[in-house]
Amino acid sequence: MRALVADDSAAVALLTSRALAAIGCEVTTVADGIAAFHQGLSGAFDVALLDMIMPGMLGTEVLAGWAEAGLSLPTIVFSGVDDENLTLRCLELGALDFIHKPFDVRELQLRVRVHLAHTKVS
Amino acid sequence: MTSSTLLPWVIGSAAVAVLLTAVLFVVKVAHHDLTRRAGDRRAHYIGAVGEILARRTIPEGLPVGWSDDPIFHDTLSEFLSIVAGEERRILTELSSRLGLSDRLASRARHLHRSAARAEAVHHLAELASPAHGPLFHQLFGDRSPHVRLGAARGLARLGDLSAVPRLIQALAAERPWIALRMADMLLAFGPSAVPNLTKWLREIALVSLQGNRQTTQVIRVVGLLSDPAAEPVLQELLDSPDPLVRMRAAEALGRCGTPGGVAHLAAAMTDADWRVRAQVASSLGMIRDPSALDVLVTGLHDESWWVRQNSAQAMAELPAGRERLREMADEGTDEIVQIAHYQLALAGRGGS
Amino acid sequence: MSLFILWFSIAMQGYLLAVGLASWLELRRHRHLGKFDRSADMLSSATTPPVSIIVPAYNEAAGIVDSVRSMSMLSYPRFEIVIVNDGSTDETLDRMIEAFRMEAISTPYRGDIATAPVRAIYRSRLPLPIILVDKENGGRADAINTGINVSRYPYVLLTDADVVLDGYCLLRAMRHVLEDRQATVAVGGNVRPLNGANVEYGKVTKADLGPTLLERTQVLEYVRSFVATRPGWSRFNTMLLLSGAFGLFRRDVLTEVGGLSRGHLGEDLDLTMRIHRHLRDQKRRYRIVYAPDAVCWTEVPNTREVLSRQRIRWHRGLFAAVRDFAPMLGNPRYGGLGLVAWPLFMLFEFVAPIIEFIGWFVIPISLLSGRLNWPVALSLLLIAYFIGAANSLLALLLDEAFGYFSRPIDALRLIGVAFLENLGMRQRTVWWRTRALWGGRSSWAWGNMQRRGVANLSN
Repeated sequence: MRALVADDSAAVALLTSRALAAIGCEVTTVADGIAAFHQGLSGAFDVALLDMIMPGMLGTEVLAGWAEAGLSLPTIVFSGVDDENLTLRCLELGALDFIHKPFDVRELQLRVRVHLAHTKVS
Repeated sequence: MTSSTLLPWVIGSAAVAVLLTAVLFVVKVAHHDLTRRAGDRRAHYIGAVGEILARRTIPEGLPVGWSDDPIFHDTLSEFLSIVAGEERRILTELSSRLGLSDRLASRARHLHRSAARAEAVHHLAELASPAHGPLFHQLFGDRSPHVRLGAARGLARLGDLSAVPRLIQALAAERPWIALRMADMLLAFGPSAVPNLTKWLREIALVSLQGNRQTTQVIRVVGLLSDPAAEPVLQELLDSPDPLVRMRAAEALGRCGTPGGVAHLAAAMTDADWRVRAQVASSLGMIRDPSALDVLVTGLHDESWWVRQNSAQAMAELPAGRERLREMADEGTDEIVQIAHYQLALAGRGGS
Repeated sequence: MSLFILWFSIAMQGYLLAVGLASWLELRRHRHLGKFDRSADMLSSATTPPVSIIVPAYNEAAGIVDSVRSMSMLSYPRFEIVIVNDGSTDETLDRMIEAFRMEAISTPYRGDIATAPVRAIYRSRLPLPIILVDKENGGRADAINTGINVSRYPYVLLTDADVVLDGYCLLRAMRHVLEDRQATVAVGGNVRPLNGANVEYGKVTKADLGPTLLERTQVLEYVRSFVATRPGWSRFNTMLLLSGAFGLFRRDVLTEVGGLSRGHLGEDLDLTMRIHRHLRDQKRRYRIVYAPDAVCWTEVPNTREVLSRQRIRWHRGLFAAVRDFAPMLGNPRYGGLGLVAWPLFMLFEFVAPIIEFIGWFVIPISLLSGRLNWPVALSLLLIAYFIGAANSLLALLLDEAFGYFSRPIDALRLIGVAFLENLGMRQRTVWWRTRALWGGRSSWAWGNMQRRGVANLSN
């Protein structure tokens, strides 16, 4: 299972990639929106974790771009405490789920596993 | 005057220029070096803490220097703001193993420079250990406003409701910027603070004739906490002599009002102040109860542009309201036609 | 006479030094305020007022889309971007409509300020707060006034289409507003030259000095002006000039003074002074402050022709302001502004180049005719020169706190410019500024810099 993690905070990126590696994912990390957009389009990933606010392109723009390109990549969105509007917008744009910061690492792992299982089935 | 009297001045000014040159060069080099090193340390800490979290064990023999390094404090606080649950417990354990909490508490109490105390209390607030409750209370009376702010945050994170009255007092005593941030801290308590806040509103705000910044902030916070239990006191505040208080009360009712309270709110549409009427219109749109429709339609003919705008926007939130707007888009006055078209278009695109 | 001119030069440097020291004190105060005041909470707080960004655009097809996209990524909870297409003759309108999926919408338009006719107003179908106003050509001031009319938030940021705004500039500017919301009517920002900087994805990742001496001299000028002068003005509430590239205003005050003046070359200076005059006439408590950490980047001229046109334009604008606000000079009704700040500004910004120009003739004549002896003249010149260099160095020291130009080689280059500047560059500027005062109306129009697009967003 290959996961794409997009977050401009080194701490979050590190934590998340460790957590996902622990459940058997191969993780690629990027620190800005445009890189995330292009990586997603390359089709090499099974799941993506996207931060809302990144340099280059916002999480919403990345999702909108993927939707327009016809890409269906299961995406979980990281949201800070009060990015409510952005989070809702992301869900509208096709994100599967969102995780509030501060998050529980085990919960993150669980959700990723669940979504990966669902996509395998469908 | 001769050149000989001027000579010392020439030499003096040249010396100043040369001195500044040297200082500038030294400062640049030092700054460059410091920044690079700080960056390296930060990366090192992120890696180390990440490793600890991944392995879920804290190694023996941690470097002592960590607890004195502000960069480590920053890194730890950043991680604390990201993780919850088990990871958070590990980080708290890490900080107590390093003696970090005690170190920070001592710095917060004793250091002379207010910036250093503020930094210490800021990190303590992120750690949010219940053992520091009394310390936060004490620091809430510190002479530096930033330390007070950090202490308020600590109390909010601990959910210590005894701090709510003190925070409300701070809203009046502190200067505007600090008061705004203190109001944010009140919000961080969540709905558990509502009883305290409504009690204050009843005892103080309803009694005094003059509204002020403190009252409006408390009303705003109550509204944002969205607890219908606050509705009665907010309705009473709609009768306040101060239009700003009435306006804030109307705003708060929009957020935490129930459909049962719509009639009371709608009655305020006859207020003398346009700002209150405009807010009432917006709030009716937030509650979305169909019984408000007639009042909103009268709002469309109000003398104030903002009241008309907000009424149309509120109408667009109701299905019956959209119907009326469509009818008016065909017949009303020029301006109403325009507003109606505009709001309908916005509603058609999923709202603005 | 020559002696007077020489002492005048020294006095001018002394004035700049005093303002520089005041700036140092103000910047120190800011740093203390900075770190633990929880400014970041503004991002999630409902008390943070929304802002309308107004961008006038005339033939900006090359970079407008990138600029707007970069602006849409500002870190601020609620804001809208109002682009006013001032009757462009290129594809500015079309590119905007296409890139942001704009659709015309019949919005109720309130003409608080009279402007040239508006043709259409567009909104974006994407989840981006972008409004495009298409109107007939009327000039920059007219376009901005239209933008003010269309904007619906209580604060407006007036900026240009070709600047790169720092991601936190709105947050930091508004932070100063929130210190005293009742009184604060305007906030100025820190403008830095973009030339040579590395721009990636709409953000400046690395500032640099620019390749030519011309550009580097301008870097030094901007640093002196924005880091060593404005904070000093702000300290005494005598901000005389909010740059057109970044000025945050309270919308109601702008409509009260009738927006920007059309056909005025120094619109930014004119607007700021009119606001001062209006509010002081009405005896209202107010403050106009400067936010040194609200940064925006703009391209500066890199050829002599364009630079000379710019300086001539600035000086003509200054002349118009001197003429319009002459009654405020030395007028106690306007407090510190009228008694001290404005007269000094006028003296050392407007009159100084003329005096210096006169000196070019008078001093050599006095020397040759023996009325002035060489050692004295040389001593005075040297004193002025060294204090001038010291001023530049002081400004660079103050700028250290911001952390740009961090390499030691940059230090050497900037020090070099500080000493070289008064040996030729300055004289050239003096010539342009003096020349500005006569000469036909031929160059009264806005000069055009080759628009290359600055945000470098598309890779």
